[in-house]
Amino acid sequence: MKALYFLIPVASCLALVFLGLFIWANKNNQYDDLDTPANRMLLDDELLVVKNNIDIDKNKDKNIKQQKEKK
Amino acid sequence: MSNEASLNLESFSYNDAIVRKFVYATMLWGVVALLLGVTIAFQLASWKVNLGIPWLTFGRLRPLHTNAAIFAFVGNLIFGAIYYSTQRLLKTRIFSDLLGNIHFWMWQLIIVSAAISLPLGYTTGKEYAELEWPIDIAITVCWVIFAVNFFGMFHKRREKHIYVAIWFYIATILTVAVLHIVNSLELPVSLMKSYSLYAGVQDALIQWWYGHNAVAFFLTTPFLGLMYYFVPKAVNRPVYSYRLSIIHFWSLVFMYIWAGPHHLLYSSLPEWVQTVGMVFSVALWMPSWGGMINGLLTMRGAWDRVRREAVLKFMAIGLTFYGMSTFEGPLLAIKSVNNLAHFTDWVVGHVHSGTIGFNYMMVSAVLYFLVPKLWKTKLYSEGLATFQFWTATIGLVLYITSMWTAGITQSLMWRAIDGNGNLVYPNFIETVIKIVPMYWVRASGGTLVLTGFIVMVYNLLKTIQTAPKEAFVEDVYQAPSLASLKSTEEHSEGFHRKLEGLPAIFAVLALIAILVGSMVEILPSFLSDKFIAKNALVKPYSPLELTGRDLYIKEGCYTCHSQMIRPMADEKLRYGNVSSSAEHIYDHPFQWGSRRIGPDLLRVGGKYSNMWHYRHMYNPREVTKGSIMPVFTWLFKNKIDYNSLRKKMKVMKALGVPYTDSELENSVSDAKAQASKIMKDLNETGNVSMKQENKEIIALIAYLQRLGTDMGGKK
Amino acid sequence: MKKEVLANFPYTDLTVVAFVIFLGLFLSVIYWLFLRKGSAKFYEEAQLSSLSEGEKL
Repeated sequence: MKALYFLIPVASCLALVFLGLFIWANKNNQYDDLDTPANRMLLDDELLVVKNNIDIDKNKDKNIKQQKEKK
Repeated sequence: MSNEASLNLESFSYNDAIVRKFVYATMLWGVVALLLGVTIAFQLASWKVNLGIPWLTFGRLRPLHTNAAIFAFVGNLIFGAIYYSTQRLLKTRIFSDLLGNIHFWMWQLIIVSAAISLPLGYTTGKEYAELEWPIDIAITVCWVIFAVNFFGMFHKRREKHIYVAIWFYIATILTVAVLHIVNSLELPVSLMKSYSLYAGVQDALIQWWYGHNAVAFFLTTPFLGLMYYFVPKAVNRPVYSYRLSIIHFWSLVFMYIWAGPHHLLYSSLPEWVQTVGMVFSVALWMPSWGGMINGLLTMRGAWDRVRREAVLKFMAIGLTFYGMSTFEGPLLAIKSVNNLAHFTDWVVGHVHSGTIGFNYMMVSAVLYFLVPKLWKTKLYSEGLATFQFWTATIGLVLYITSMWTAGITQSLMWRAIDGNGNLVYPNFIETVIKIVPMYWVRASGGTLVLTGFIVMVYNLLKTIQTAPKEAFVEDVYQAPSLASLKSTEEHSEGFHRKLEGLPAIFAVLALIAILVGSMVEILPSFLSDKFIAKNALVKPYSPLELTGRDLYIKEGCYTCHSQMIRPMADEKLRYGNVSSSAEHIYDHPFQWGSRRIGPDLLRVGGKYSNMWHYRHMYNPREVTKGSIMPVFTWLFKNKIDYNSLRKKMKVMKALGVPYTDSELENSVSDAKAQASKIMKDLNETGNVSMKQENKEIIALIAYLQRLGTDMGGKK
Repeated sequence: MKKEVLANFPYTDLTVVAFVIFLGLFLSVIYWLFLRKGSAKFYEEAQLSSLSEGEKL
C-alpha cells in the first residue's frame, strides 16, 4: 500500500495549505463582518459611471424589427 | 475613517469579451458532448450503432464523451463564469487580457486534440485522465495560465473582502492542479503513448483519489461558487446565511479529499483505507446539504418568480438534484449498499443525476442569466426555455430511473444462488439481455436532454442576434482603490497585501514546479522493487502479452469489462478466486474497470479456447447469442507493431518491472515465437490461415489467455 | 437474512414493474398539474385563496 506513503502527505499538505488560508482569512478580518458582503455583491450597478444608454426592452423590439427588414 | 477627498476613485472596466468567447464554446461543446452521450447510449441498446468502424466503437467514444462533457462543456462554462463573477466580486479587471485569450484558445486546442486522439485509440486507459502525455502537459500549462490570470486579480482588487464564491474558485484551481499533476505522472514510450508511473493497487488508489476529487473540485466546487454568485444575483436577494456558506466551504474542502476510496470498496485495497473513504463520504452529506439549503433558501420570497423565469427554474431544479445526488452518493459509499451497486448501472445513474441534474441544469441557468447581460438584451423566448426545462427534466428522470432499474436487476441476478449453491444465472449474457430495454429508455431520456439543449442554443443565438452595437462597448465603473480605503494599517496587513501581488503568482508557479519536481524524485524510490510485497508466482507480462494489453487499453475494453473479483460468494462461483493485490503489481496502468456491461475478465485466462476468442472478437454474436459487444474486425487486418516493442519493455523496466536484459534483447523473437504457437493452434483447431500470424488479434488472445493464470486460475 | 433474500430473488421482472409504476405516476402527476385544461387557472385561484375573505360566495 505504498501509494499511501505518498498520498497521505500530499492530502495533508493540501489540507495544511487550506488551514493556512483559513487562518490568514481570520487574521485578515475577512470574517469580522458576515452581513455586508452578502448584500454588497448585489449592488454592482451602483458603481456604474458610463452607461451606454441602452433601453433593453425597447431595444430588443427595435433589433428584431431590423432583423426582419434586412431579410 | 478616510474622508471623501482622500478616496482615490479609479475607473475601470471588465473584460466581458473573454466571457462571451467561453459562452460560445460552452454551447458548441455542449452539443458535441451530449450528442456523443446519446450515441454511446444507443450503442449499448443496439450494437449495430457501432457501425463496425474502429473510431466509432463504444470503447473509443465513451472516453470522448466523458472528457467532452467534463472538460469541454462544463470546463468552458466554469472558466467564463468564474471570469465574469470574480471580476465583479473583486471589482477589478482580469489580470491580463492577453493571457485570457491564450487561455481560451489553448483550451479549445486541447479539446480538439482530445477529439482527434481518443477515437484514434491514443489513450492512457485511466478514467477521466485518458489524454496522453503531450496533452496532459498542455492542460497543465493552460491551467497555470488560468491560475495566474485569476490570482493576479487579488493584488489589484478594490474589494477587501473575499466573497465566499471566490473561496470555492481558489479551492478548485489549487486542488485540480495537484490532482491532475499527481495522477498524470507517466513515462513516455513514444509521442502519443506512455505508461502510468504507478501500477496495480497503487494506481487504483491514486486514480480514484484523482477521479473522485475531479468530481469534487471540477464538477462541484466551481458550481457551488457559481451558485453563491448567480443565485443571489438572479433573485436579487442576499445569500440566506453567509455564516453557513463559510462553514459549508471549509468543511466541504477538508472532507472531500478523503472520500476517494469509496470507489474501491471490496477490492484489494486495505480495509482501513476503505473504511476511511466510507466514513468521510457519509460525513460529506452534511456540508453538501448545507450548501443546497443555503442556495434554495436564498430563493425564499421569490418562489413566484420561479414559475415565470427560466433562470430560476433551472437553479431550483439544479440545486434540488444536487441535494439528491449528494444524498445518493453517501448512501452508495456505505459498504453494504456498495456491495449491491458497484459495477452496475446504478452508479451510472448516480453520475448522471449529478452531471445532468446539477451541472447541466446550472450551466443552463448561468447561460440564461449571462447571455442577456453580456449582449445587453432580453432573452428571445421564455417559452422555449420552459420547453427545455421540461424536456431536460423528463429526460433526466427517464435516465435515472431506468439506470436504477437496470442496476438493481443485474445485481440481483448476478448474486442469485440457488439451494444447491449454484448460480441461478450462470450465463452472464442473460443478465445483459434482461436490461437492454432499460438501455433503450435511457437512450431516449438522453435524447430529450440533448433536444432541450439544442433548443436552448437556438434560443440563445436568437437572443444574441438582437444585441445592440453598444453591447460590445465596455461599461466603465468607478470605485475607490483598496489602499485609499484603509486608514491605519496593522503591519501584518501590509505584509499580506504585498504578498497578494506578483509574489503570490510566483508562489503558485513555484508550488507547481516543486510538486512536479518532487514527484519525479520521490516517487520512483517509493515505487521501486524494494517496497513491493512480491509474490513469486506473479511474473511480468511477456512481450506479446504486453502488446495485447496495450490493444486492450486502446480499444477501451475496460469501459465494459472489469478485472477485479470481490470477496463475495457469487463472484467466486462466477469468476474464480478473489483478486489479490500482488497479482496486479506489474499493471501499468491498472485495469480494474468500473463497470460490468460485460463479465469480469480477471481470470478469463484458460477458460475459453484460442478459437473461441478468435471468433468472439470477429463477431461476438457467433459465440454468445444476444451479445451487445461491437465487432472488432480491424484486429484481424492490422499488423502487430513489433517496432515499438523493445522501447515499451525498456520503459516498463524503468518503472520497476523486472525484465532481464536478455528478455529485452530477444523481445521481438520471443513475441513472434509465442504468436506462432497460438497461430498453430488456431490453424489446427479452426482452420485459420497461417497468414494471420502477425495480426493484432493474436497479441490480444495472448494477453487474454494470460489473465489470472499466475494465481488461482487455470493455465 | 437480507443476504438470503438477495441471494435468491426469483422475480427479476419486478424491478421493471416498479420502473413502469414510478414513471407512470410521475408523468400522470405532470399531466394532472400542468396539461389538463383549466388547471393553470385553478391553481392561480387556489394560490390566492388564503388572501380572500370569502367574497366569492
